[in-house]
Amino acid sequence: MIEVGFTVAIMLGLLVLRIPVFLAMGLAAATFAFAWSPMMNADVLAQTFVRGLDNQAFTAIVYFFAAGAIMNAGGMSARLLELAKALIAHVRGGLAHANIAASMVFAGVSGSALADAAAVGSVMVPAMKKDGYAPGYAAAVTASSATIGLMIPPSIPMVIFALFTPADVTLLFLAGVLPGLLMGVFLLIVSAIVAYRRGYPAHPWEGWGRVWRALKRSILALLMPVLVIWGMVSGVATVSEIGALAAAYAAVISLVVYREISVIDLWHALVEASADSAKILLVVAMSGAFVWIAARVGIAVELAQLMGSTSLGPTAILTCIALGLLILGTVLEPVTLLIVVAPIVAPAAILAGIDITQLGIVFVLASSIGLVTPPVGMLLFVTASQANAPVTAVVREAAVFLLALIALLMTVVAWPGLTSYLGTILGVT
Amino acid sequence: MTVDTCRLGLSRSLRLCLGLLIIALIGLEVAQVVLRYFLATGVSWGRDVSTLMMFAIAWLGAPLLWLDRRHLAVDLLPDAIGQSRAWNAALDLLVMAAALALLIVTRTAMGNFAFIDLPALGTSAAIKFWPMAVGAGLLLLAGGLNLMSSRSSP
Repeated sequence: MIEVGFTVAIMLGLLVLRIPVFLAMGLAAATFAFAWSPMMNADVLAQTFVRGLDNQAFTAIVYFFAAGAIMNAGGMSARLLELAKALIAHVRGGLAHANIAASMVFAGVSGSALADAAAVGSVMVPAMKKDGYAPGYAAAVTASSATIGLMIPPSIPMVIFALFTPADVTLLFLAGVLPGLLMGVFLLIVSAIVAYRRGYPAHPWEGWGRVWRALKRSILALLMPVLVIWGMVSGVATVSEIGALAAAYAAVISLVVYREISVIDLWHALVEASADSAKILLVVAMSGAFVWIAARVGIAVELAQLMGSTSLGPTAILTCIALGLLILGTVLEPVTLLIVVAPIVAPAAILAGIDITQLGIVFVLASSIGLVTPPVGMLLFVTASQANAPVTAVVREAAVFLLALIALLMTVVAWPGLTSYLGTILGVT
Repeated sequence: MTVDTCRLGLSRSLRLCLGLLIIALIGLEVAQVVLRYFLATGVSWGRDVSTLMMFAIAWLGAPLLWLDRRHLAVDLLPDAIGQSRAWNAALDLLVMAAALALLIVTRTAMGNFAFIDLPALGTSAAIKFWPMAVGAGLLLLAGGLNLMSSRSSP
């Protein structure tokens, strides 16, 4: 057990020194191989890097990145924003609400919080600033609402969780829908309270005609999450095939139907999606060594024994897991958190009587909250730069949204029905 | 040829490879679905080839991301240290050493897998190590180019 603690400590130390995650993981595993060579030879280390990625289902990550990148480049974000504005901008603080509503609908086409923040924030942050919102607040609303992107399917972190644990990705996608929508509702409530207290402006209502026109312009983009869920629930294709079909669908509607993207733009979007996928796939490859080490040392068994020795029930254990994830999430970004922690915690959690789908949603939600918590909240940095605001101002403004997201996390922990309801009524269990 | 020209050339070549790979990957997967539902058939090598292409995306993406300094990282260090030229040079040296070590151990690992067949592709499982070997070689090059570029720039 000491060797695992030593290896993890080295990895965390290297991460703190701003060494890229894949390199920090690789070097920590190499140190393990060097220090405990009878347990792990150097050539075995290379094999674990290949084995870590040797699952065709990981291609789903590439496909969902491609679908999101094409949708983004194809002007889909502008159409979805128009719909969100038509629906909600007439309420006091309307642009902040529209920002959140846009993130909710955009979540269904991208699967990545950073892509959501980049797409929605690039349009909404300048518009909100022009409307008199404080730059820090505009950035905070964008950052908080972009986290919904990880919860509403297609969600890349859910695919990763399912690939590293016995969870079923279809069930995870279904389980994420209600908490994802509730995230939006919780954030809208907070945004409404802030808008009334600060007297933020409302835009004039332009009638149902505008809503209908905006809906017609964006309906094909809105259909994508529906098609993804239908494809998975009906079993017509595997998750990776659905991802590839989603990417092809995005390319066809962007190029042929909407015609807002050129072939060159499509090429650049695909190259960027490929590079973004590589960022994650490399971490997945390196995680192979950690999975090997954890299995060799039997850390999951020890953790299961530890959980079994306590008199805590599943909800109390899940609460402890959620709090631990919130703490880890302040320094680790979601992919690293999921890949390093989920394979170790999941077997023990299952033995403790926790539903794996509920655990998956807790993992994804807690790691998405980590994107808006200092010191390493990536969304805080992205949106602060969009708003040209100090990160400290964004952190201050985001605090109230953060509390709402933590309240939702605790609701998900305490109420298993929230994650199982949709699967039950659709007959998928 | 200047260092920056070499960096640009490597970056463009890698981008071209990544673009072609992702198009081929999506095309192959969509073709599998179309073949299954419209022609009631499939390609036996599809799964292995798409896995290999995914390996290639991961390992060819590594040097491209290194050239652009875009890998996933934890931003805890102050920018004055974490983005300083000396720190970046130290990281370049570190990745070069790691890539070289990976190249050496990959050679041994490939030997171990040479006796395992991949029947669908008619070759040995050692082919799975090639993307990692090529990626490690190019990562070594990318680290070297970044190092020389930071030294040559004012």
